[in-house]
Amino acid sequence: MYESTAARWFRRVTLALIALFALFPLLIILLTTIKPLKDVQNTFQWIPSHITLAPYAEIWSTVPLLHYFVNSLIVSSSSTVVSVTLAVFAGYAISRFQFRGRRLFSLAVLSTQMFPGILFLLPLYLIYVNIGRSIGISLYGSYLGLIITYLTFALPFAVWMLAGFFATIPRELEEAAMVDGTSHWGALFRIVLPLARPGIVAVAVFAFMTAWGEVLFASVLTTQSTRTLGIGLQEYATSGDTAWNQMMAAAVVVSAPVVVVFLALQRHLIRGLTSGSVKG
Amino acid sequence: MATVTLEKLTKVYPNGTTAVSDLDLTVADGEFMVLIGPSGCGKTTALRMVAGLEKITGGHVRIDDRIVNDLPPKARDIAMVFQNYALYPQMTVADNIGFGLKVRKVPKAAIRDKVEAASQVLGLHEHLDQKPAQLSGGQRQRVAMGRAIVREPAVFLMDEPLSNLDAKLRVQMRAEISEVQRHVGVATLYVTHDQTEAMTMGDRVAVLRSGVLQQCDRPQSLYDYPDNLFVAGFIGSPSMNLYEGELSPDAHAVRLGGQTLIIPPSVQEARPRIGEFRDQKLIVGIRPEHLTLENPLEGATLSGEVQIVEALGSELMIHFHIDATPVHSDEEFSDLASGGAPLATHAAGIARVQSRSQIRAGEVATFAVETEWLHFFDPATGTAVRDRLPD
Amino acid sequence: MTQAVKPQEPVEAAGEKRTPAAYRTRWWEREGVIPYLLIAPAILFELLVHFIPMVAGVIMSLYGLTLFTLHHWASAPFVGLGNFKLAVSGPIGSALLQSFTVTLPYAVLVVGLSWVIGMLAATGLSAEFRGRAVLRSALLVPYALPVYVGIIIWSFMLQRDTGVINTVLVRDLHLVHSAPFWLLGTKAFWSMVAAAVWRWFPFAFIILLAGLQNIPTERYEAAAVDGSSSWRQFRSITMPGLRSANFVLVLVLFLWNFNDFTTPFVLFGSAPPSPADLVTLHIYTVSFESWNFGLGSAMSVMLMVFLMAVSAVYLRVLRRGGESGV
Repeated sequence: MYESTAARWFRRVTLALIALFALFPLLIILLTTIKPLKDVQNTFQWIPSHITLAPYAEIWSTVPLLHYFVNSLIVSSSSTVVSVTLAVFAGYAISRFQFRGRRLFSLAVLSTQMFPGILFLLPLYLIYVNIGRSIGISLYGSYLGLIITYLTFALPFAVWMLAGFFATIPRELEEAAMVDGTSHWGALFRIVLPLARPGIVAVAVFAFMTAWGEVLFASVLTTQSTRTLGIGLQEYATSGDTAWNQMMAAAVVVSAPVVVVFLALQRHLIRGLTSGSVKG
Repeated sequence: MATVTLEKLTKVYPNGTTAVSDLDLTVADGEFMVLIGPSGCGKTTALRMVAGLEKITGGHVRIDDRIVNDLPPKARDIAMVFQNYALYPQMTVADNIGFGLKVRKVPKAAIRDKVEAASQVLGLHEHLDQKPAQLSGGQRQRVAMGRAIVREPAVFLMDEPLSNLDAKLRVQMRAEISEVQRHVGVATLYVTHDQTEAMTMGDRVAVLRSGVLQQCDRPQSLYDYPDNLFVAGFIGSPSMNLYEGELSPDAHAVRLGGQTLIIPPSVQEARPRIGEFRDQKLIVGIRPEHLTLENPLEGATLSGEVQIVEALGSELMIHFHIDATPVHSDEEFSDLASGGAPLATHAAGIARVQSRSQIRAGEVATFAVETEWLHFFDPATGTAVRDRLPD
Repeated sequence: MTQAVKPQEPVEAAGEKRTPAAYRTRWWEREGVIPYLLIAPAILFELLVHFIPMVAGVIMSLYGLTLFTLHHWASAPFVGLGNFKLAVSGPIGSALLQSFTVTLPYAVLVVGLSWVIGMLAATGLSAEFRGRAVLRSALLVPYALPVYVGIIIWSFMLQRDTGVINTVLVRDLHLVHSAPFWLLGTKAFWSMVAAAVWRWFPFAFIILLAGLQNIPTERYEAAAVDGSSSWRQFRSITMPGLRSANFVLVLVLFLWNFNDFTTPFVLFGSAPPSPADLVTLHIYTVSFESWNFGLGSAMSVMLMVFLMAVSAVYLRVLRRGGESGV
């Protein structure tokens, strides 16, 4: 595109400012994690009085970080695996079959985005507690309860993304497979799914990230033994005597894997995110 | 080894459109049957119904006398070559070809042998370990064929397999497909919109229009004895020249605008029905190659003003205008007979002349008409005026 | 049928018998059944975790479910619209209303600012230049972080005495004399907005970037040849071209931010300053402090009705010319 010099400089300056806006807090985190405690208890200093990696070690005992981490890992992975499986099947159905109720199904799934979480949090809490009491299946304060809950959070988006993704795989491939001797299921598992790997991975990352970062339901449905990272760290951050250098170290530990995976797969993720909204 | 029979095959979509209507067709064992027609004529839909990829709304498909309407594709013992080849991208050529066998649990060693044999026939031996993305269009085509033949099915189905290839490659692949089919000797149903493929490859050709079969015949018979206006105008390139004429009261001559052509007695004998059109409108068809520039005879000439002369090296295509009423094979025929809106009196025509004539645009050309090859059609229905099909 | 022996067939293949029984379609392979089988599990879970609880929530709003009756919910008294009346009257009502009047501008501001910054970033990055990929990755990081992490960082930066923002403002740039309390009072609202915009603008950025890349460059080239200015091109080519992307983006961002719980909860805990009392946190606090689930449900129902109305209006107004996401 032809740009005047003024436009070019405007673009450069705005991009620089935006980049600064985006990255400045990250710089602060990293900086803070290598400061000793007294640095963060006083006025902020740009240069640490001395560099130490102690916060990374200390946080594990200040807060049961490992415990929280393991809980989050269990809950997020399990719900991701199940929700991706559900989304793959449902997305495939929407993209390939013209069945009665198709429109209703996709609309219903998408409309759940609209509903405030709080509306079904209260009933869910009651239901879980009561099921635990009556049938004995412990849903409140257990991994199972949280996993079941998280399952459905990523589902609408995942179904939407996967339906769009499946639509890009030519139908002829399944037809060729069926002529070759598979049933619909055989064609799905042997031909379509291997091809859909990038889309499935993208959806899995989204589902995982959604579960990993969830706070509202975790605050109500977990007890100390199943506490996840979001709530655990929130408690510490609002506790009033937070050792911020350790807090930031925790933030790094908690975020690094997710961010690395996200950036590594950003192409797929962006393609998945945008295929639905852009083509309309 | 099997025959394929389509009995009153019909496809009506839920929204009411009819894609295929009462199609009756028989493909003998080993026969190469071409389904041709303009886009949207239902040929691909018919093929997909035979394959089991499209639900059959009415009628039956039989493979060797067994009705297969309710069988899924995998149970019909068919193989199909798709327009875009539909090769499995993540598998090697060898795996692509062998996939159908693997699904049917054929032992590995047998698969390897069959794939090997097929690749020899198709010249794919060096490519067995490559993925489809690394192959050229023609090679991918061959892989698709290999996948079809290796299963030794009862029927081959092909959906415009050559339309994605460039012209030169198409000529070569036409011959290859014909040879492979002859070698394997399996009943084949081949869909295309390309006439050349139909004429050169088919044992018989079925012409479809808007879901209705127009005529099914050997290629040469279709060309020489089209059953109706549509087939006459569709088969043959450049298309047959069609004019609205008037038959003389004694049925010996037909008038086109200001000119008269005498109908030879042999033609009259062969077409007794012509008598019904005495003193009435009659559609006359003349193929471009039946207009020459040599020895015009009395009563067998057509003069027109030359518009364009296309020199193709071995022949000339002369585009001319005559004072006659044109006919387009797509029109509703009843309009013509009922004398609807006044039609143009300026018709175009093309003559295909094997000559080195120096004729130029703007001049008047006088063509000799080979009147034994005049075609006549009923203006009301568009059907050819003929009692019986000559051998 | 099988009398014709194929000439080259050394091995009798296992599955090649053409007996009808072997090929009869099982019920789960039939085309009419398959789609329903595929969506069944998703439907099951959606029903269990979304729809049934939601219906239960609506029902709960009609009952007096308080601390006393919570564990014997079958005996909770039916109060009809009593909870709703309670929710809109007296101190409870005015607190709720106040929360709404905070949440609406919050959502609008976050959506607006995220959109603007996302748009600037998208236009900036739609052209090719060296380091473009790196810059794009950098801009995505706020979105890639777990939600609460981003908010915790801002919480730290906004601390009055130890936070970097005050240090920069007071000590380094001398813009202000005394360090403000960013997490109290009205300033808390703006802190929230800043944290949320920081987190959300990358999302707007990628949606808009993809949308921009879908606009054929020929349109801009034709406009340039015709001599129209950048601003003119933006109005007549860019914005219309982004219509479908914007349609979904704005709706989704608005809903998510209106319902935002995490941002205020992580910044302030369960007792946010009232200028920053977003409605979901408000309802949460009301429900779990007084254990009046009936009241909480009634408030949630009102929230939902409000959002549905807003969405309906939005869809109706923008449906002409715009496309929805499904």
